[in-house]
Amino acid sequence: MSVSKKQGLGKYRVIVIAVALFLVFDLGVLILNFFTSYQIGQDAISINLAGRQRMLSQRMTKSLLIIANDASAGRDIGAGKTELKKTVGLFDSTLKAFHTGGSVMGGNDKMVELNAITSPKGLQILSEASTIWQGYTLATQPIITQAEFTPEQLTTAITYARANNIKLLGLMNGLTNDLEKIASAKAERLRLVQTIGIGLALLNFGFILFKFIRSLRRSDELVEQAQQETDEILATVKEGLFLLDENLKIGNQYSASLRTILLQEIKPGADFIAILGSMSSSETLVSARDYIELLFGNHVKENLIISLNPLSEVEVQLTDSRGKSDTRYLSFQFNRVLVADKISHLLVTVQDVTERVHLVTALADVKGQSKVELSYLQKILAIDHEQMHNFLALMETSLTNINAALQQASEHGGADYHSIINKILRETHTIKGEAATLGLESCTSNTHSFEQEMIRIRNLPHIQGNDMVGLTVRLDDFFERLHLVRTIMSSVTGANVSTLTPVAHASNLVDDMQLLCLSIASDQQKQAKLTADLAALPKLPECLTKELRNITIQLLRNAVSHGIETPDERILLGKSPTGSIHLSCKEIQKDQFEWVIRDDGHGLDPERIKSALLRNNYYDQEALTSMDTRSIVMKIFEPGFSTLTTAHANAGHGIGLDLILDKINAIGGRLHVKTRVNHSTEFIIHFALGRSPVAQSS
Amino acid sequence: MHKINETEIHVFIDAIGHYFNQISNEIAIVKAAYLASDAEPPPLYDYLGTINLSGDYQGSIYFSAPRILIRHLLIAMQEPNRTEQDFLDAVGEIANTLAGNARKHFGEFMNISVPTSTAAPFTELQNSTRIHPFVIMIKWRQYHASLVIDMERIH
Repeated sequence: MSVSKKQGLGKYRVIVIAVALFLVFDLGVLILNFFTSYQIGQDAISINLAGRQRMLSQRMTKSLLIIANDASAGRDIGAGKTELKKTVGLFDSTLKAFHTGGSVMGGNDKMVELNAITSPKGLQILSEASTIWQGYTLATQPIITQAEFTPEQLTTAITYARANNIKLLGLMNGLTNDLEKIASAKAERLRLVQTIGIGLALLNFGFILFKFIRSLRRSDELVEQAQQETDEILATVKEGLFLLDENLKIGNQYSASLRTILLQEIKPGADFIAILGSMSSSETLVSARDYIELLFGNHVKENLIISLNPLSEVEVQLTDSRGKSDTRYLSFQFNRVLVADKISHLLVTVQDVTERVHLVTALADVKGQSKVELSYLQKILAIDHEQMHNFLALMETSLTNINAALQQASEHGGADYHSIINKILRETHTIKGEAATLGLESCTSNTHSFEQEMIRIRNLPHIQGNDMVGLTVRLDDFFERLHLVRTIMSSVTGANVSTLTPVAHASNLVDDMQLLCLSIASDQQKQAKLTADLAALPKLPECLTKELRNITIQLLRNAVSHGIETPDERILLGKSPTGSIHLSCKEIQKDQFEWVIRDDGHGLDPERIKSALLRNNYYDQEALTSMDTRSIVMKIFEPGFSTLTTAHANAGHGIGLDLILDKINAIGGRLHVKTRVNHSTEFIIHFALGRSPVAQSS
Repeated sequence: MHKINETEIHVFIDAIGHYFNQISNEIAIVKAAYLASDAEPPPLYDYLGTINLSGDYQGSIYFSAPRILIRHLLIAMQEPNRTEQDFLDAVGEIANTLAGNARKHFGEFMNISVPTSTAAPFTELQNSTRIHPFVIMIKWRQYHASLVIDMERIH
């Protein structure tokens, strides 16, 4: 800053000197003017008095002649004498003052200061006049001073006066002319000095104007050029740039990219926090405000707090002009702008780093995926090959069904995306259940995430075909995974897995269900034990066993997630901390079977179901009041219904029971539910071998 | 091989949507998206516009529409001629739009062939790049058309 100050003085030095000279010229002319005017004033007095001397020389002669005339006529000569005395005295004092300088009676009977004559010609005239005046004084002395004077004395005075009257007049006239000439020369000189002074001052003024305008113009040009360059930079730069003041207001200038990046109109002076608030969470807002305040504080070094920037990679929700909302990642960098060592603004640089974040996430995903794939591979190899094969066959069937459901949307007039999604959800849930029984966490997690995406779409007010595209992309991922696992299995077993005939192993069912039961219970910090009596199972065909297995998986998940209480709750209710789940299969008549899954959990509470139905806007209070308890309990089979407020991997999406009904219908069975609050829930499925559509089709 | 993502699929969907909207002021909506296979090949209609890809990407993008849809499109374009060549040109222009949008989105990383247009019967799509090409069913007015995305990223 000190450099710029020096430059500033240098830039204005010439103008400052020019202005100073202008003032000096004006002041000089003013002083000279004042001095000369004073002198001309003095000269005017001298000229006046010299002129008066001319007049006095004539009045003296006139007074002498009046005295002579009055005396010869015998009249009083007093008045003449007084006049002569006054005239002679005035002439004498004035003449002396011309010689030596001093006070003398002026024309208005006031004393005036008279300067001594200094010019050679004036001095010569004064010398000649003094000589004549001496004679004049001697000749008139007796007449003025004596009460009685002789006629001869009067005649001598008159004779002298007549002889020198014209001479004295001529000398005083010469003196007047000399003084006028001197005054005129001074006035002439004053005019010259004034002219030169004013001329110089005007020249100086012109120079100042020229210099100042040129300097201003140059300054303007530089400012204009700088402004144009700034405009070009701001219009071209890809980053959003703006200045932020201490009140967190955006400055008057900002880059054109800012609007594109923030997807909104920015006005000079706009509130940065309000803009940020419209796109990010309140927590981000609070952290951002704190960080900016920290930056405006002089006591913290900028470099030390850069890492604290909460907006270095912030997730925002941006809505475009068409109202389409999108999640983007923005990077806001803040740099202090110092003026005179004080923070005047923060320079904010905004970048859209969405691509970078996605790339980093994708990279991390790939890395994570590699780890997951390895663990997945280990899991696959640990699973019985036939079990795995069954799972893959089921997965392929479900994926093909999902694809068929998606394709179905294009074949009819108005696609019912809602029911298509429900159908896909049921298929996905089957895969998820089977994957969980085999302990394939990666597959369980992928299907769970797929379900969540479908539920998000299902909850959209108006589902469109465009919304479904993402599901197809994910379906393709599942197909690829299936293909990959099959390739691995083939290379491990040496057999083409896809050509193996699916074989259901009923003997594994209990083991699988026990494993699943422990796994779900452990996930939810519960304790549960599954017992089974499947004596009649070998009488069932494999196709039915497969469907019953799917049904049991969903019912078991439901029993552990919704039925069995936490150990603390169970102890409070006087129950064993470990929940019991019992699975049984009996032939109740010839080819008539009963499949039961019973848990000793808190039962189906109609009030809890009612609350969930109300909360999720399935029915209003009036409709629920008109329903009996049985109808309310049966609502748990409606698609999307769940009593949980938040979903997790094992329950909460309201898909399982919906799927169970689907499967029970597929085997031509009938479902009965028995429940007692805080005691038990029993799902009983009755089916006949001859009536099962699945068994018949197989 | 790298999988293509949803955003990349939308580049082509948006190109078609924008084209129909610009020509007719009527939007073309996505009806469904599913996966084709050898057993279930993509639906093809009377005309087919194709762009072939190379470079970092490999495969083809197809747009197929029935004659009636193209006829209505020509009417919307106020095209007085209705010759076979005009039908092929119209499909070619849609394929060209797909190429233009792809060029804008994928830039130098994708080499795009000169769009071609053919009339049924087709020999294309016999050797697909993907096991499951993406089929996007599009509806404009009451007519269906298909957009087939059969491409993979190889780098």
